[in-house]
Amino acid sequence: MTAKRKQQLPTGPMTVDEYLVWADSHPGKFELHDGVIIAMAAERVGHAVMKFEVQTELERAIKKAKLDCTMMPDGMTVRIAEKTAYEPDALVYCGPNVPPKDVEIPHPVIVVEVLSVSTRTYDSNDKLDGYLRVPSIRHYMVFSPDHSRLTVHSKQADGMILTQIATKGILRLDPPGIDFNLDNVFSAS
Amino acid sequence: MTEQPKHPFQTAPMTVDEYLVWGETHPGKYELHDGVIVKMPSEQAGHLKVKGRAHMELHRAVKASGRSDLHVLPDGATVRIAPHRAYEPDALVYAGPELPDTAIEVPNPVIVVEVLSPSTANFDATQKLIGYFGVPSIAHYLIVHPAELPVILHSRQADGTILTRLLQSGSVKLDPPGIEIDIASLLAAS
Repeated sequence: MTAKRKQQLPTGPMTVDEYLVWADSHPGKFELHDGVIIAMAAERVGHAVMKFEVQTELERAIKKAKLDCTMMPDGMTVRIAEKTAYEPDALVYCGPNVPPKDVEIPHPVIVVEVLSVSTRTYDSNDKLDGYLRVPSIRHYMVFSPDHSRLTVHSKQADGMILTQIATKGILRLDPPGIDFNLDNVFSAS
Repeated sequence: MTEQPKHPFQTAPMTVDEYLVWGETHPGKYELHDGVIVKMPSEQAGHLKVKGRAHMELHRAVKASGRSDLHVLPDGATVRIAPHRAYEPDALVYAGPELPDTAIEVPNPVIVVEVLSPSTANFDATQKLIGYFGVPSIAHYLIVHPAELPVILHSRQADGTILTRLLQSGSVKLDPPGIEIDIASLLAAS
């Protein structure tokens, strides 16, 4: 998502715990970057459509693999560090359902960001580093701003990161063991 | 950056060859994205400083390797990605005979470096990653944030897969061409 200028938001550095309490009473889409609350920019139609297609395909792929995993659309918080929390555009976690009132997903295995053309931040570099620091996250999927390409950074069992670039076909994401079909995503949008 | 307005002087999509001719008489920093001339944003001081340091560090590393067939160029050299696409990395290393002083295109870079700026960071991390790895000679794409670690290094491996490393410190061997760069030196004067 697009990080935009700071509005009239609390300025003191916050921990993720303080931020989650604050966010509970403040509608809107935010992230916490190094203790600073960042308001996310309004979304463009193309971005919203792309995000939905990706969420739908993740859901389909999980069902097909008959896994005990859950796709969550954007809005869930992923804790990166003590003072950093992101809201990916989609995520997958496995195991028991997170309680309905929770706002944080503690152990995502896949996180997705759909980039915007207008994004004017260093998002992509910071987030690659941040997401891959979360031990449970094995795949960070980044959809390019023109919505025609996918870059996937996958953490291997040995800790090495492999990067794949794909425009079509089926991509195996293991763990959790799903086949993500790009043709379902790119043809639809 | 594909939705950027066309340069006011451009009337039709250009090939890289046409663009290079055009560029000879048009000062400024541009790239060609799908046939469209794109003006690169003005650079901030921090960006310029780090670009200079990256260039110096590559120079030092090439010199230390003792390889006389390796050459470093600062930003300004054109790398052809596709018939209608050309980028200008912030620094690069190429191997082989030294190009003539009049050359504007580097046909065989081995290492390309981009220093991020706020308006291009997402483009550099996605579209450029894809574009640069479409060039067979390019083995390493180094992405440097002007103020923060880690430095991101994407490297093509022998089996064709891309290995990504998030580097905080120390030195890293770039092989090919076989040079060793120091991560801290990319960001701060040593």
